[in-house]
Amino acid sequence: MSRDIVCEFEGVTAGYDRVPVLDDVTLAVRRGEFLGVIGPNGGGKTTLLRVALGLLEPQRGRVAVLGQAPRVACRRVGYVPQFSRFDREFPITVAESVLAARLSPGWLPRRLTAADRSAAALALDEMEVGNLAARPIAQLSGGELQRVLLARALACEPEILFLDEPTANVDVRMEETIFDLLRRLNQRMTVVVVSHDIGFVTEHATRVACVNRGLECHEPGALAGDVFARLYGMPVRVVDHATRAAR
Amino acid sequence: MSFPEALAEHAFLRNALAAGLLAAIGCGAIGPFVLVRRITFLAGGIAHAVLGGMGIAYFFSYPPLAGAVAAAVLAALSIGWIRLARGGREDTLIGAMWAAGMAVGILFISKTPGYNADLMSYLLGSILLVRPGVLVWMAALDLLIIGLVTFLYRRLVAASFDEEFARLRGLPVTGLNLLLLVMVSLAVVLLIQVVGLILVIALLTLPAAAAAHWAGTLGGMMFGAAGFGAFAIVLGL
Repeated sequence: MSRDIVCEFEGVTAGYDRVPVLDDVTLAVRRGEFLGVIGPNGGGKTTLLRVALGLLEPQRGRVAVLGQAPRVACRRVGYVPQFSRFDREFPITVAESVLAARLSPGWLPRRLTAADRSAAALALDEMEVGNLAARPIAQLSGGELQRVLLARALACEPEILFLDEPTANVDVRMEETIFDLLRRLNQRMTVVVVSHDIGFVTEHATRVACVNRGLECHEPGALAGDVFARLYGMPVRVVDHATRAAR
Repeated sequence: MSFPEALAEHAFLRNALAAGLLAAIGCGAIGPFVLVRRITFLAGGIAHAVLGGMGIAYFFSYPPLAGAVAAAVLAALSIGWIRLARGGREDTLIGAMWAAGMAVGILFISKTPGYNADLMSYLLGSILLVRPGVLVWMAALDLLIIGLVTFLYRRLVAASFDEEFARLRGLPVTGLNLLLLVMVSLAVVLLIQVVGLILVIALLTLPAAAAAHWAGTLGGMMFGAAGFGAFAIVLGL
């Protein structure tokens, strides 16, 4: 495998029970790219992430992340889950949740060092939520929580950042902020974003993967109506982002 | 006679107070986990399995507490196995355990030859009849629970808050979850001594829920829950 490929899927079929959600998917994520993954609900976007993270074993095919099996490589990647999955009432402070990124693997606890605390503080500052460190997460807005989850992933000091629908529960302005942050992070790490938001992904990603059981990759400029029509099984109106920005 | 005077005069009351406080400590350490993991129903299932274990131990004249611990751990592990290893829904098993534990417990206790007033004391607790030997057991269980929770605090919190993320960081999430279930079952055994089967759920969840109103962290919730639990038990005495 080439050194420039950080995540590789080869003929991967995966799913739950007997029905494959992903069917014979081949994908190579290049180092330093900003890959957007789009597709209809139930098309396999999240499943793709779960396989790449080693949370779901593929039924067929081969997956390598940073040249290793996903389960082995998982401490070298950062993961920002969908935050609708969270119990917002969970009694935990922002700092505590980010420090979870610094826990040692295995059973034996290791005392958190000054380096761990500063890595967590740095990540929070970079996501511009350093002032919220002592707050319980129950008191955060959607956008704040999203940035805290990003900070937690950053505190892992990852080589690849995987995000699942980072803009699902935030308003348009926060969407822009989050994608600006991601673009800044993209200067030092590979970013893979799963999103239902086609406009956003095509505006910011360097490459777009369309997932609907199968997978095809496009340069963002080459995405035309017929690609979406095939992907979603219906005509999709594509809005040019120049007009969107001018609005 | 005021409560402190009575306390000074009667050993049984001192034992009752000690048992109550020991139970409050256990429910303080574990209650918050039960609440945030939403496993109250599971704790109820374990409590009824414990009655079954006590009944069997009682019938074969083993110490009921040993039967309780064995049944509790067994119940916790089998539920954990269904839930974690097989990814199945544990509700059915809990429901079955609930009924079977109760039935087995009552059957064996009532078939035990001799005088068995103890049946009601298992259902409703027998805080006034706690023997010093049982107190030692309870203290040992408390120490075990507190020791494990303190030692593994960050790991347990991380696995409870976001299981997938904890797994990705290489934490033994399945093992931690099983350990947590076993600790829940031990806490149930502690509480049954004092408040009985019927009130176990209340003492495991209500103090924690009260503490949740002002505690910002799980650790804060533990101290709050222990405090509320102790207050309620002392008030009851």
